[in-house]
Amino acid sequence: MGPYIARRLLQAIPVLFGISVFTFLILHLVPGDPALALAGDRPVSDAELDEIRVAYGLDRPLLEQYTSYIGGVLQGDLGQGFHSRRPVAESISEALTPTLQLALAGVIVAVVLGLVLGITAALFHNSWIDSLAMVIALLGVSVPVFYLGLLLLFFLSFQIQIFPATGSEGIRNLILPGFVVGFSSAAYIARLVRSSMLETMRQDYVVTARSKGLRERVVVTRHALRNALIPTITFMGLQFAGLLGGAIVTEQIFSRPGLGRIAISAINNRDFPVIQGIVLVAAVVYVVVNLLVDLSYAVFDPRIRYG
Amino acid sequence: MDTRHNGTRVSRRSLIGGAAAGAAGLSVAQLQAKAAAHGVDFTSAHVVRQEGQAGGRLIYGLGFDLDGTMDPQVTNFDSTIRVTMNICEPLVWMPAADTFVPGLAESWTISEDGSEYTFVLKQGVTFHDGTPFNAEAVQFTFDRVVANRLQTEGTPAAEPDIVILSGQARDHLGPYSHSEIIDDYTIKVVLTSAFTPFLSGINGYLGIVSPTAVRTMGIEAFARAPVGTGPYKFGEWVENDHVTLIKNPDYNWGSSFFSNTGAPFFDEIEYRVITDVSIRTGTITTGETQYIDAIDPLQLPDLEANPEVEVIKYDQPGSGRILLFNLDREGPIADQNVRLAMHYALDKVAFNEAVYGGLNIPAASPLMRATVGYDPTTETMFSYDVARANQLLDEAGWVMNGDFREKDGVPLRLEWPTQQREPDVSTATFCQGAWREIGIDVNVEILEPAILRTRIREEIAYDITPLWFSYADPDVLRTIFWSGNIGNFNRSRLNDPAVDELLISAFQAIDPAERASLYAQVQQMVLSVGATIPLVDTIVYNAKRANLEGDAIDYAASYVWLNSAQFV
Repeated sequence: MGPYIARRLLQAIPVLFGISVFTFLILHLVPGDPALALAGDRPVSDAELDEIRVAYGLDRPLLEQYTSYIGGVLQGDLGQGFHSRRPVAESISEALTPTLQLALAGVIVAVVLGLVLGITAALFHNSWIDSLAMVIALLGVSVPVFYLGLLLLFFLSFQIQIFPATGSEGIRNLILPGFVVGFSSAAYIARLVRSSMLETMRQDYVVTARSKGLRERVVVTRHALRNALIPTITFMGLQFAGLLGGAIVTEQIFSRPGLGRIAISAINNRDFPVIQGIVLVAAVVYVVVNLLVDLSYAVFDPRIRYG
Repeated sequence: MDTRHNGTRVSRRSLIGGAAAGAAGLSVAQLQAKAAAHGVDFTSAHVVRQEGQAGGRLIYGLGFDLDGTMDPQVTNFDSTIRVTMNICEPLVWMPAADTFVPGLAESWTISEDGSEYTFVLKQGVTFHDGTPFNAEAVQFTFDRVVANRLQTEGTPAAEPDIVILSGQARDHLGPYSHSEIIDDYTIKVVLTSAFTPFLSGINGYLGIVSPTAVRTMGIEAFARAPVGTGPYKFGEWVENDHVTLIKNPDYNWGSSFFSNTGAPFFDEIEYRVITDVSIRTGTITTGETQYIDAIDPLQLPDLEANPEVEVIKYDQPGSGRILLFNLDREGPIADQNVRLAMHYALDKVAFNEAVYGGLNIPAASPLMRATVGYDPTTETMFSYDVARANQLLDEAGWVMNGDFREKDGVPLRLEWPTQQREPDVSTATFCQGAWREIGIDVNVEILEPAILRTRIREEIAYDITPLWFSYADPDVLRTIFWSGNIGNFNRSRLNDPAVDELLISAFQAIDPAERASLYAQVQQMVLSVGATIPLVDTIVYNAKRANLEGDAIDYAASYVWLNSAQFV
């Protein structure tokens, strides 16, 4: 498995390089002047704007700006934020923790709720329980993240007051946002698990297992579910980026710190080093998650071996 | 406007010291400030302060995020100052119009010509880093604001490593030349000309910083953990989330304006950034926060009916919600009749209802009513009169062709680029609808902030843009209409030597009546040439838990004092 991982990581290098070039170009091609953003609304002369551009290296040719940036990145230096004058790596690592916490909470909600709904629906196929589970799944797929967030806030935070609406300390502050982030993925997973369970339950090996006199619980968990899980894992890997995206909206609604919040203010202020840093970190997360997903196949499907 | 503090007459020109504000109980002072803002002469009040519980923690729901810095001389945001004012205190505070009380200055005198301010400083004050507060610190703070400007003009800074890119502070310091240290606790600030708004300008943006801390930490680290003399010390700042301040137990130099001049009652204050107005308002109803900025107007009736919540209503001074027309632009907007017609065609009462739920006041002047120098005669200059609007356009030769007017083949079409945020979008769409009635086609274009900034400040490609500028002095008119500010806040790009002359004379004028008459002329002039349409005078609606007492708000309705605040 070692060589496989090494190969995958090497393959990631051109991907990350391409992303860095692409982000850099987009930032410099779209309108919006970082020097103006830095000056804020205070009176500023053209000479001062030029001075800001010189101070932040924005007057240099694009190629030179890029090479000095990528040179820094290769040495582990993501640069300094225009606005905060803080090392970008510091801002990002501070913001990454709450975002990953939120995304992880979302994954847990998605997997647990998705599996429970999907398995129950499959086991009680064509009954009212199946219909109910699928209606919940339908809601999950169709209700937008911001709307769900506001609804939960209104009922659970402001009406019954069992969860705080703001703040980011502790598990209690993670429950509502985690649910909001994970709910739509849970819905997809439920539908996926249900259909693949229904399919595997009809397979010969399930019939064999039953005829061997195994208990139904064992048949379901060991024979049917394990096989039904593979498409779910693929889906979760793809969905992780979606969870990060959902986290951005959710952070805004629940006034949580995180990558989404700094990304939005960096974009509004044309804070190039911060935007580049976030995109790069997101790309790394994406590559790593995909690799983990691929590796996990081997755990669930003995036929798959990496070498 | 004159106000009274415990029977002692206080005005801008008089030398006031600790005695002036006297032992005014905070609640009394607070009421006076409020009364003053509403034009009430408040001479006697008897308020018994209830015994509260010391300690604990206050969670304050901040409506705006900080702008990436906590250095008071670097920030451009009032919301940043709302936090840093507890750490870095200014020389004076301004609780009501033309009323100044001691901050770090014990007393002050102003030279006959209005160009020199001599401050006698409080003694025995120490910064949070243990270094003493003195005249050198004041000089250091003021000098750092202009160091960058001097550098741009070719004067190298003595300490280039600590030169900041100063923010709003620069504007507030006016024509600052230099300051002379007379002795450790006396400093003379010298201006290049008289500048009557000087005292109102040296508020929170000019909170005094510890020179030692700036030098040893460097400007970047200082901006993340500022050091001053205030009742609270910096604790923690998690960007986009919260700032925590910690009680300064050694504090005993509070303004005599506060009932509690000693260490504050709360152990900690957490300023929590909650930018969504409905969620922020929700947190005050549940008690998750105990004080919040600007409430959701839709929830006002609920909050007023809620015995656990108190709404704090306060008329704001400065320039309210106004529209500015780009006078440098070619095309229909260059026609004064078009601009005046647009003013007549706007029903400001309906606008206030539609956009603000009726919570503000329809405006007549670019100065709000609560501002010193507001000219009431502006109220008779325009009225909602669609017939008059149509008549003006007809006279100017704009004829209807289909839904909209045109002249010599040029359609009456105007550009209004805006940000995707409220009340900007609803303001634009309301006006768009109103002007459609008189045959004017307004293109409202929603842009991302950085692009909008470039569009307005670099490309100058707009016909109409809104502005809102709370400010404690009528000098705000200079910020908006002086030709020297074209490219900045003078977004009407008005370049009228007569207006410039009036604005300069007005900030140099010392006699209040003379100032008022100069500002009255400016207000009438900018309205009659159609440079602006004032929409509403804004009112601040903050809210707090009813058991929170001792909080107060300054004249600009922007800085919330918590020195004496506690739960009862």
